[in-house]
Amino acid sequence: MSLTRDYLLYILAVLTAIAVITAYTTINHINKNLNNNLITLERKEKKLKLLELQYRNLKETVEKLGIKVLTSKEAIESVLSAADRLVKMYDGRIIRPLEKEDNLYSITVGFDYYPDSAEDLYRFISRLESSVSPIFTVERFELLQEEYGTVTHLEVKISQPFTEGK
Amino acid sequence: MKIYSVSLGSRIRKGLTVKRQKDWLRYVSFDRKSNNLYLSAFYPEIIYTTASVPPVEDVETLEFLIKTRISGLLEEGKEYSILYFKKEEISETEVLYEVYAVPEELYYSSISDTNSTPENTGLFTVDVFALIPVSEKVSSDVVFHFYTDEEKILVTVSKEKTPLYTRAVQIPESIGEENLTNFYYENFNLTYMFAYQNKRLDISSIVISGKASGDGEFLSLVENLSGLKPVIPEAKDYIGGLSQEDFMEFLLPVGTALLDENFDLTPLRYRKSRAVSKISRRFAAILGIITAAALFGTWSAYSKMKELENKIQHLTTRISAKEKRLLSDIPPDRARYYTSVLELKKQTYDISPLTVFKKIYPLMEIIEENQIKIYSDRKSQRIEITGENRFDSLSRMVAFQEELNNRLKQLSQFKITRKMNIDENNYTVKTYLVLERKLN
Repeated sequence: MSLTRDYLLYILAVLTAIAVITAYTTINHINKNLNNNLITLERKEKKLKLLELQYRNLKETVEKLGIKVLTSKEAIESVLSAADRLVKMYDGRIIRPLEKEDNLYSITVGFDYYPDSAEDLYRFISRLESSVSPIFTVERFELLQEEYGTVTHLEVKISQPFTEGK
Repeated sequence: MKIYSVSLGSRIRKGLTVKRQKDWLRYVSFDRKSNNLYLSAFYPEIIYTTASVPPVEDVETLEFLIKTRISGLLEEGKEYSILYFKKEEISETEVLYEVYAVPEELYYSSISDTNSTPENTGLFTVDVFALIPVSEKVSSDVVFHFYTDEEKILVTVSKEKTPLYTRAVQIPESIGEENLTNFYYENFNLTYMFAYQNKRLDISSIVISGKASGDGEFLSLVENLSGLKPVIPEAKDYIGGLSQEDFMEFLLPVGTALLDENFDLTPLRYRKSRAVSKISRRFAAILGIITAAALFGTWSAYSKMKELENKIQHLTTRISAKEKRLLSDIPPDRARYYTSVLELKKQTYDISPLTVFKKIYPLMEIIEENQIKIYSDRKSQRIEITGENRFDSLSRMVAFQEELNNRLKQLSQFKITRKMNIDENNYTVKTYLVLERKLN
């Protein structure tokens, strides 16, 4: 009977339409999620590119400055021997004892320095601050003009980071 | 819409396939090229009457009421198909219809003769109605249409789409070719006079078609009788691609193909199922279009999905390789170590007395300093400058103060506190400055 055949055709068309529209909606939903994933990955790649650039710059700086990697033991040695040198050479004294904060050892030494001239003072501080292992940071500086000449008093923090693995 | 239109006579059958474009046809073939059959049958015994029934909207009820009213004319035990045309509203409760009825068995025998089925039959009617679409184009007034072929004479008087009177006559085989003109004329005369005088139809045009249209003697007799010049319909007004000769030969199937559903004598149950089928097919077609569009959308979305998957896969591989390379190049703990060293170096530089001297150089140029103190921690830096300047004139002393003010203004990154002890008698200025700044 034609009626049944046409009606069946209609039902089939309805079912097909529902199936296709469902498939379309589902795939579109998946695509939305995939798109979000893609955006996240693209952002990650951008960050990685930036990180890559930063790593390259870091590497160049490290090579330029000749930064060496020290272990905890080497760091203590480095800090203490530097402090020892300053104490001995400039009759200094320990202001703050050896401290360990995260992966960093530090000690603060105070001493007086009598520069011959402004250039001498400049050279002295420059030399001190150019060291990368350990690092000398002048935290306190006093300059007094006395009758017998210029006196400076410095408190220098000697720091050395370290790494557990090498 | 492609139609195979057939006119079914008692002895002859004529059919052709056409393409219908509103009220015009395009010839396709004399062979059957379509499953959509339009059928008109020769049936001289058609029942014609009038019936008055209450006004009803529902077709089924209306047909039932009409059939009940004309039951006296119908043969008992036989099912009939009817056509009805509204003639006038007699009152608010009664409407007069002109009714044509044929037994349903005519429908069954006709579709059986043409090897068809109810599903394939788009329209079934009697051949007298096939003349109406032809007459309709000749005049919008009352048209008297006289058609003949080898076996019959058909007469239909109509006004636009409404039949006013019909007659179908079988030509006896005993009538020879030489007597045809007389036979035509007798029948024309009889029918014309009946329509004109008895039915009082105001005939404005006479159309002669079919075999009789080529009979000059008959045409002149018709003109003499009626005083109207007979019109012979031209093929080009109805169908493209068919010669005038073939048009006259196939006028009945051409006219049948031009009929609309108001002339359909298909039994009601088949008309109903055909209507449902038509709606189902239409909906199915619409859904088919929607499905096709959605399918295209799905296919395109699927392609996009595959493309996205590929992109994600490539990107993931690339990122993972890059991460591996970076990690093997400088492991994280080593990167942390280097960063820590560099941060300390930066801090050293930022708070260095040398950096401070550079910043406060404009002050050092003019202050005879006795004492400079620099105290730094991670967050802030404090600089104290104590100095004493002597001058040989008051104007120089004032100039110094102005210059100092100007230079201090330029050190906007510092919060500045100052104390000045001015001895105007000895031209001496003692300066005590405190410069403070926050470190990043």
